[in-house]
Amino acid sequence: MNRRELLRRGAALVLATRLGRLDEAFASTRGTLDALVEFVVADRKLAAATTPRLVRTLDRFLPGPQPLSATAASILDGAASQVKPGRTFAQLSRAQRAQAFAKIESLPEDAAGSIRFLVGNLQQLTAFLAYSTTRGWRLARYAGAQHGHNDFKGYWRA
Amino acid sequence: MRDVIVVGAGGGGPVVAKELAARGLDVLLLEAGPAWNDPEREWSHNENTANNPATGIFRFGPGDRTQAPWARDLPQNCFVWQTAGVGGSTLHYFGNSPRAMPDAFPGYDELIPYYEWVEHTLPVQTAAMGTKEELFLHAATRIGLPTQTSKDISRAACRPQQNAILQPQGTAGKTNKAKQLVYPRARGCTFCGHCPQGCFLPLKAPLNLKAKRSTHVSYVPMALTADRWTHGRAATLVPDAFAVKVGAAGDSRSVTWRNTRSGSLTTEDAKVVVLAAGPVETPRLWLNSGLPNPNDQVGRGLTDHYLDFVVGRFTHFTGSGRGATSAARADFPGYGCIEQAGVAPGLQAQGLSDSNVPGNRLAGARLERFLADVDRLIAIAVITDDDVLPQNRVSLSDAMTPDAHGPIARVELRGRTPATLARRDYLASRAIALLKAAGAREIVRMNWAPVLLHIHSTMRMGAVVGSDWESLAVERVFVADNSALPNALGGPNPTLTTQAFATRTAERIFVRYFGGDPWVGRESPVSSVDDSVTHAVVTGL
Repeated sequence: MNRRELLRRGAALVLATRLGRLDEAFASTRGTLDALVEFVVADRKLAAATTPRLVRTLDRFLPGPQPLSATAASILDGAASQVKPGRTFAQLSRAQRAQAFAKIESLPEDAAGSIRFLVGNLQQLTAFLAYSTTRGWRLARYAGAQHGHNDFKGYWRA
Repeated sequence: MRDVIVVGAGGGGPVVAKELAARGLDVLLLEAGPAWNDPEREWSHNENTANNPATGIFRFGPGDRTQAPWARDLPQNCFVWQTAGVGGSTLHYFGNSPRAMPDAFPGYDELIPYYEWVEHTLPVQTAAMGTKEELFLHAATRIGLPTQTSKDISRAACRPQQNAILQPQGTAGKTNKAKQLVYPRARGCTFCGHCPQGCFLPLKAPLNLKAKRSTHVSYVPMALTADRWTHGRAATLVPDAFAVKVGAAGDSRSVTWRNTRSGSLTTEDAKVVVLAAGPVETPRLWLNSGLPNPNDQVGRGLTDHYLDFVVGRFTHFTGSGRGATSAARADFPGYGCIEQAGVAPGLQAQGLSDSNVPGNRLAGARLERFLADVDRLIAIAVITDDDVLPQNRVSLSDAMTPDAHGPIARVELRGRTPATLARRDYLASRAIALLKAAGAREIVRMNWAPVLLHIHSTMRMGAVVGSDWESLAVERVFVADNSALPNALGGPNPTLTTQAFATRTAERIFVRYFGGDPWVGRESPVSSVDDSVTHAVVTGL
């Protein structure tokens, strides 16, 4: 069993036992990840550009017949169905999405360690991918990649 | 048969390779990642290009970046930040080179000459000040911290970092204009603010005169030109070579490695083998090789400084994204350290979105507001002296399929002592006090999930290796990376201490197995920026 399979089976097993129904969990990966990105990134243009980068990064991180992005989406949708039965992550309000994250982040690591690893990194990876773009840098008023700055003040004297 | 095979060209392995090549031994240096022959062309300041964990230049994966990164079994919320390639994690490190807390392990005083040797060789220099450093240190003074003026930590105090970064000279640090930032007009740190994206500046500088002293620009070039700058023998570097087995039969030692591009296997024999693949891969290699583990301590006792992140938002310019990423710090004996960490927006956003406490991450409008001007932030990394626990460990995964290099490493973090948690809280409180004193308008403490940036003690001294870092179970096999550290060093960043130990290890190897004499304290070290090395690098690489 490779890591992808572990994650897939782990997601199914643990969520089935701890979060309940998974039959609604395989909704649109893109829609779910769009909702994840919107949760992390407020700027609409930046969010729209981030989802494809997130999918690419996840799927390159662990390539296989079942993309890691789909696994991530199914876990989020599984948690969403526990917050609001019958809903996917994309169909939740912002507060409910936070609750879905909290549910996953409260899973015990000894039983759901791989899920905690994957979901634990989703928000920060999304934030990294968004704010490492030109638009993200502009939003952060970052001067951009430069070979140097005029900020040398000398040496510290107590 | 080689004299010595060193497995891993990260922070520690090249130190052994350079020292023994300078003594005239036949040294083979293996590196699993790529060689990076032309950093000005191959690297980028773009954060995603450099640091994306799946596709980035500085990832833990093969040099062929069309391939996936190498897998680890990580059964908890955590992030492992390691780089494969010549230079290893010193490619993305901040260059911080403090000595350990003096009471962190027995024999600190005996290590001081080795510290001095490394500090001269890299070299380590007092960090230059920019806006963010002045704010940090003035605030530290306001909360009652004196300035530490010696390299040895003697009390709770603040100080400019001792960094493996060349001080700015010429136009460096004095202009934003790229055309004026070319060597030799610019020398040393140009204040670009991109330490985590590697350092290929100043442009046109010889490799050994780049500002940040990763082993890629210091120890490795010296090892490869040891026949030119001294009367040694040039070491042989083989990149893209993932070691899969260490053999030990009688007095014979061997290493088998897999070429990550072709898949071919090669085995060479040596009189001595030095493992320096890092604190995750060294115990993995040991266990995959079937080497003795009589007390079941291989892989156990992992420490990681249980890093945390405290960030203040200001109404005025802080210069957070400019200059060396971390050029000011405060040390608290008995607790650990805090240091400023000014990174570009992508990594800043990543840090603000990480937490082990549900609901504590910054996201959406709050993240955007907090990050509305990266140059009005001061970020502080909390570096905790965390205790050794046997259940925090590296082992072989039985849940995941082995890769082409054998069973993969499983990294488990299963507990923290109450003392570790208390130290972390104390240090975070000092960081918050410092930011308040600096005038922060808003402060967030992220309570990070484990970020494995400083990883140590998985082959720890006293349990797996002896005081000279030779295996207690297999003679002629040594360790020379952070895994052999006995603990978390009291909190200070580990690279310099590992490099000092690695220097001592090289000396012990030379004396014990090659009949030579020790040299530290008897000879003068040659700096990696010495003209003789520059000449050797320019003419010999």
